Amino acid sequence: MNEVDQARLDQSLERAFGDGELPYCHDKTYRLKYSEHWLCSLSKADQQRCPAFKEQCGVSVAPEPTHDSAGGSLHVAPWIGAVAEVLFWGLIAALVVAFVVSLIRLRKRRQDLDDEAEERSSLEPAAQPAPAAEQSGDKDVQRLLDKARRAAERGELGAAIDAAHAAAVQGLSAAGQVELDRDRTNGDYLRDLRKAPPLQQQFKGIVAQVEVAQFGGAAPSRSTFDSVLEQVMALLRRLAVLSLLLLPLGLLGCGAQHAGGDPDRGPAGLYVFKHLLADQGAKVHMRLAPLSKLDADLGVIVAYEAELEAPEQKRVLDWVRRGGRLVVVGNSEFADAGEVEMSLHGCGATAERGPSQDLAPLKLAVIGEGSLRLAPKSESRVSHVVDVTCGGRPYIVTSFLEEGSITFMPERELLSNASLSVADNARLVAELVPAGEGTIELVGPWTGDGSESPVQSLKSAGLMPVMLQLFGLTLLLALRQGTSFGARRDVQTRSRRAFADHVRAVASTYARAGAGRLASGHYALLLIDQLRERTCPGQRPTLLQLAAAIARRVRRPENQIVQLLVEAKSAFEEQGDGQGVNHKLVRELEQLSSQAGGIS
Amino acid sequence: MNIEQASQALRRVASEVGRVLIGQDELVEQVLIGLLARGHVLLEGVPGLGKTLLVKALAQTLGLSFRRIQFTPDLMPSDVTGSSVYSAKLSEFNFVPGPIFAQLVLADEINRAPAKTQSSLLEAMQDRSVSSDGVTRSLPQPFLVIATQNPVESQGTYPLPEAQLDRFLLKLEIGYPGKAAELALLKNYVAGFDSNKLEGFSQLLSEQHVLAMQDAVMQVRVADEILEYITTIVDKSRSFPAVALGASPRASIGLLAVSRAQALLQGRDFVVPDDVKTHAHGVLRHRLVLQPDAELEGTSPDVCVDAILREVPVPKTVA
Repeated sequence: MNEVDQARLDQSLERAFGDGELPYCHDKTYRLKYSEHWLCSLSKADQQRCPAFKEQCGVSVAPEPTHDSAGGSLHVAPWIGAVAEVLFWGLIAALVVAFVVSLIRLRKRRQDLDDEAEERSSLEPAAQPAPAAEQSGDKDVQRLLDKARRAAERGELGAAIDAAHAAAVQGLSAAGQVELDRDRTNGDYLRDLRKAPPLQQQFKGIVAQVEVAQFGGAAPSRSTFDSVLEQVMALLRRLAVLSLLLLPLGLLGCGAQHAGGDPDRGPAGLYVFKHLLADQGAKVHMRLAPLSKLDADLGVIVAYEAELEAPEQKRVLDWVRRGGRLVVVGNSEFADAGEVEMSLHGCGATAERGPSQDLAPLKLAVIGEGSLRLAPKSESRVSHVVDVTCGGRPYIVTSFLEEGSITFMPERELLSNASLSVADNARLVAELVPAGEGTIELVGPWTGDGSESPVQSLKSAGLMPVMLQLFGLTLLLALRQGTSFGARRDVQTRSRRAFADHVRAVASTYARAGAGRLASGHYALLLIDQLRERTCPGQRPTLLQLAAAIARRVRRPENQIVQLLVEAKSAFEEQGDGQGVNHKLVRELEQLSSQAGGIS
Repeated sequence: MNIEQASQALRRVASEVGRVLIGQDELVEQVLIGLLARGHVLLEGVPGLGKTLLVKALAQTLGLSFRRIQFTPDLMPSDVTGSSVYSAKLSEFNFVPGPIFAQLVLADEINRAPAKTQSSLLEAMQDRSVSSDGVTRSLPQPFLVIATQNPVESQGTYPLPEAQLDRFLLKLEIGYPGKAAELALLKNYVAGFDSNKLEGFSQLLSEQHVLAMQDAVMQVRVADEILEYITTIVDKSRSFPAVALGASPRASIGLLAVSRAQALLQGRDFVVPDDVKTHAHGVLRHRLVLQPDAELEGTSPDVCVDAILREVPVPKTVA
């Protein structure tokens, strides 16, 4: 055990219990839960740092459900809550109805204005019918339907059918089912709807009738319009149902609820323990990830009712044997390695330092329903020190294994906020779990619960419904907007071209013109010019003189060179005879030019 | 034969041919449209995609005569059209008709023959008659030439000049069938199918039926808006920046004809904009000569047709 600066400890405890972070500590109306009432035996101890705790232990216990009851009085009739809920939702419904009514009124007013404008325009003598593309600029489905009905009443059945058709297409577009554009035909929209066969079938029926009216030549009848309108309405109803199917996702998102208050700040929580260690300068870390690897800067492991797998236990024990310090709280599989046993014999509510301790005496308050028993094995290399006794029995024991040690505490309540608020318990814990020896890892039932993937993490955080909604919305946006998700831009063109591109362009032009032989003839002539420059610079040799010079340079028979040059020259002169390119000749000239000093 | 009957008959034919030419339903329909529109079809695709099988199966189901001409560099015009042969018995020249005297003619790898031989075929395609030794002989009706060319190999070929390409009503590009279609095809072969025999293949129509359907196409109504749509598309092709030479009036006529045939195939007695748009690529792609710059940029005629179609508003559009 380590010596602790009492003054510093007191300051730290004052901060932990005095800054209002622990509601149960000062709020007399706080009602303990069943699981917290277990700690009430500690309220009888000396040096109470939580003035309200004793009073809370004197009143009845609150039901276990996790809603936060810290805020208000619950001494009301239970039916009040139900009435309040009904009133709340009633109010919300009334607001929604009022909003919808005001929207309808606004639309009606706008409609009347449109009608007036339409009537005015129809009275103008020189009014010309606008092209179809310009007539149908309206994107509001309801207004298009109204327009269709009004046109039908006026007897303009062609226009009525056009408007009904436009309403169907706009409805599909608004639902993200089709992509609307001026160059798109009904066939295009039907192809867009391949992924939704029922919608496709319905729209196909509409299109069949609409196109007869538009391009079939026959005058549309009232019954045709009625049929089209009926089918359009059915399609729009189906679209509305599809939209409603997205609602459950929203409700899922709304349904995500948090658990009640922070359990760490209740009487059974570990807030003070962590605060205390942090104040002493320790780095406290709640281990969520599995104990598959132990960090190098690990100072102390506090195993708080931890349920570790065998490999994890082995890893920790190995670490202890190499000099690590492990504090085991509650029943644990490490007891065997430390050669101690848990005993369920009660030992009373108080405890004191163990024998042979040089440190100042302590008055400790404990639950006292469990203690320890030393169980040394034969030929054991484990030594024990009893740190605390309770009713004469070992209560806290440290087992030394090779270089390291394991400290056993039989009751997990010893580290709780309630325990640390009474007697000298906080001092004892500070002595047992020394700060400043690297990171203190808190290993508990939560260890291994860390997410192994981002999806699991989102799920654990209750964000999955929100993410699904966002994903759904993104998908809809992508379907509507395309993959670009922004303003469409032309493909960026290169401002400059490589030389090879120019050569390819020239070559493709020659190839298209069937002038491969012409190109090869010119190339052969170019090669001869290069040979002339390399072998007879500054002169104008005849073909024979040139051949002699080249033959000397490349050390080949002169007659071969003469033959080659003559062939090349005649290939250039006879390039119009329609034969193919003489690749062999070109290759030989290239080779010759290369031997004579390289092709530039 | 009314529109409905014609449509149903054509669908039966397409379905029957689709039994052996698996995964190429669209191609079968387009070739049928070429036949109905009294045009000729140029197929571009690698060998082994079932072009011969398509034509053979069509000929059998439609009850038409079929000949195949393999174009090679040494093929002579008379090998296509036929020639007069001296008969020692009758002491006179008798005309022996060439393979062109069939109702369905497959001109395989047309670009392998020299221009002279190509032009003899193209004359027959245009005039539907063959002139030899001063005598003009009519070709059997209906008459459809399906020419093929390989887009990959270019060595030893004689590309068709633009003027000759214009004689083809449709240029269709054949792709590979999907994996599932290819699997079904193999299963067909495992079951004993032989593409050379086409046994159990029923004749569904006769040449009279085909001629009646070609006449029925002419009865399909075309609204003024559709005519305007067609002319606007073709006109745009002439002023499109990437195009050096746009489509000819023959393209407008061709687009109108295939649109009508498409309407008939769909069982309609009127053309809708989608009929025009569906076949715009097939009718225009071989008629556009691109600017060298555009070709260098990798622009294809199909890309230009797409851009043209995007610029032209569809009649009675909602947008």
